[in-house]
Amino acid sequence: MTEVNVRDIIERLRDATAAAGETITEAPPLRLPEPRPRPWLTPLAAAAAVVLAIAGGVGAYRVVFGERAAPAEGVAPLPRFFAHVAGTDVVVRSSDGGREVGRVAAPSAYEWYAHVAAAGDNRTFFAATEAKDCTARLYRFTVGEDGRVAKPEALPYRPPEGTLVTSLAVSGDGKTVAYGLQSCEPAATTGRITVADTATGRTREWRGDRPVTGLSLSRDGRYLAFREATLLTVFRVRSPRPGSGDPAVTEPEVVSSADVHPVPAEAAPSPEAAFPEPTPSESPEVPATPTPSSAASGPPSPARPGDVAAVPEPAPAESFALPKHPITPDPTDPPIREPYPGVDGLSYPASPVPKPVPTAGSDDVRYVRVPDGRVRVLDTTTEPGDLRRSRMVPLTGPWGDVVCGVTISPDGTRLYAGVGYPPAAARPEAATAGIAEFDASSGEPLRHLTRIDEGLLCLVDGDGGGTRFLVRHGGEYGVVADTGGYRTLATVGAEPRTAAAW
Amino acid sequence: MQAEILDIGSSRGAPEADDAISALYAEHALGLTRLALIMVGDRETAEDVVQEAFLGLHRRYHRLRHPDNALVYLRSAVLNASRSVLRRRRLPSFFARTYEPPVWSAESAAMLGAERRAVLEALHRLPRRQREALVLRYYAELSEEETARVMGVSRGTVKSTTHRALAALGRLLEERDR
Repeated sequence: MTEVNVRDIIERLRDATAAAGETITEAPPLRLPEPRPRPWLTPLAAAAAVVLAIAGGVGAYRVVFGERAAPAEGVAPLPRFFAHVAGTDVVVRSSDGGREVGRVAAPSAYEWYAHVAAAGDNRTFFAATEAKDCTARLYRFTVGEDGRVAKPEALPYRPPEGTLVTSLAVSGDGKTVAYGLQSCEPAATTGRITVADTATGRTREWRGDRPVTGLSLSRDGRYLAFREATLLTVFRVRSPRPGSGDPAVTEPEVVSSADVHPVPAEAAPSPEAAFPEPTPSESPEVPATPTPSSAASGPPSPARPGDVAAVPEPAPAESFALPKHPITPDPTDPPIREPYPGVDGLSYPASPVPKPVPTAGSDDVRYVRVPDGRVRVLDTTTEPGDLRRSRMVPLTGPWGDVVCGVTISPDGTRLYAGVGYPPAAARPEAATAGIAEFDASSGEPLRHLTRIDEGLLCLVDGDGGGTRFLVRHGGEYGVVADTGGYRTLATVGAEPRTAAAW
Repeated sequence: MQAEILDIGSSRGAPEADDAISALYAEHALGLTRLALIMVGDRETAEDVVQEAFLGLHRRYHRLRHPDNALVYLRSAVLNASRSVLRRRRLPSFFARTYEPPVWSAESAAMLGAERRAVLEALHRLPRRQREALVLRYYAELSEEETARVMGVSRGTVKSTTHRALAALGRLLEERDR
């Protein structure tokens, strides 16, 4: 039996069993037998209490959370492929074993891939690039049945010059693509979302007062879930350029901050306690009034993955303290670009305390976010313009303060999120971590798809049927099924990129 | 990584057990019923199988060495009960009841299509252990380790059984496709 045959058999098996399973859309309430009358009352009372507790619990669950919506029409077996950004390229891997089956190389030495999204057919992918001159382009490529990647075609529409794509999403039917944009201008603090018709190129735009990230579209492209970046602190780090003779040691300079208050120098925290998790980044969004130094330096350009700069960690500025709120890096929400391995030789351990690290090639500004459970849902059939007209959905539930990746269901009625608590923090009492399902209107939790005992399971993408979820955990990509299991798809060693899709 | 390890608390007091079982049912009844359906073929029996599994868990909850293993227990119970159902159906019995045709039969109201029906029929022609290994691995998406725990066998057995099962399934489908 050849490998191709095995894959085909597994695919057919998954398809058939998933189809059979989805003929059932709900389970009946738990039925327990009536306890027999017995002379000893204590066991009887105990049994009755259990019956009531379980029946009541199930009943309460149904009343409070409602019946789980029936699955979307059609059946979605495990997507055969998934794609992720690796360095400057997009790598396509088989979901069966994680083998690399195709690769889309960066268009040029000056332009590289930063985001990727998949249509529901698991064969059509969209990708967004960044470039050193702060331009972005959108591409579409297809993957054949054997995993072979066709040459990407640049889409006839593109983000305006001077902006970078912060997140990319495509609807399940492949007819709509949405991307978040942020300006490369240091003084800009706003974000915007463009929704484009992939057939006609017609675009509509919504603008908000914060950078946006974590975009996810429903199957028909009507509902768009996204998250807003909360700007906390902006640092300017003078990085030495290779060969420039600049001093290697740089001092971060706070050019602007929010939720950060000056404190006496003696109260300033140590570097480990005061700075954000390293997040190589570019294209800053500096709020408030830029300082002369920021104005003098001009807009920074993106740092190409793989650029090397041996820059020691900067000392903390003395003019600020920890924010009032707990800071927890949210790996899914790099408003600029998330860490990639090997850029500066540093590993990127999850840490509840932020710490800036300069990237190569330019003066950098970076910021961190307070990851919270707030998600916004935009009805893209409404009038374009103000992003604040989107619906705020606060995800609630018994976990810590980390929501790691959010996707919307194909029908737009539910949200799925990786939930947990800070990776390096002690597990809060009663906190849970895993992948959870929420009502997209109220944010109320419906159920946990899977739970993990430690760490954080980050949701990356949902499949076309809304039943299989691409996640990342530690150094691997994995799948969480609607039925609750977790399976490793591929171990990629370093922290996997959020820029992945299937 | 330990998936599916449920946080149902370390205390074994009755309220905690009740809460845990309620939560387990709310979260996993649907998935387990689907799993049972694939094993036994009809919905009514599948629901009975799952109810029985939860009743069994309820009876034995306080004897679980590790409450975290409750879901493994439930999956095992579903497989065991499914086996019993299939065994009973093969025996002529005075008390035999009638069942809905399996979802993969042409008589079923479920609209699965000929291709999927053929795959499910072939799946049910496999030996029991091979069938269970394939369903746990490729429907429930359990790892080899988790599958081994549910089936009560070693990981190596899961691996070899899965390999043989795929080969056998391939042969059956090939025969049909000819």
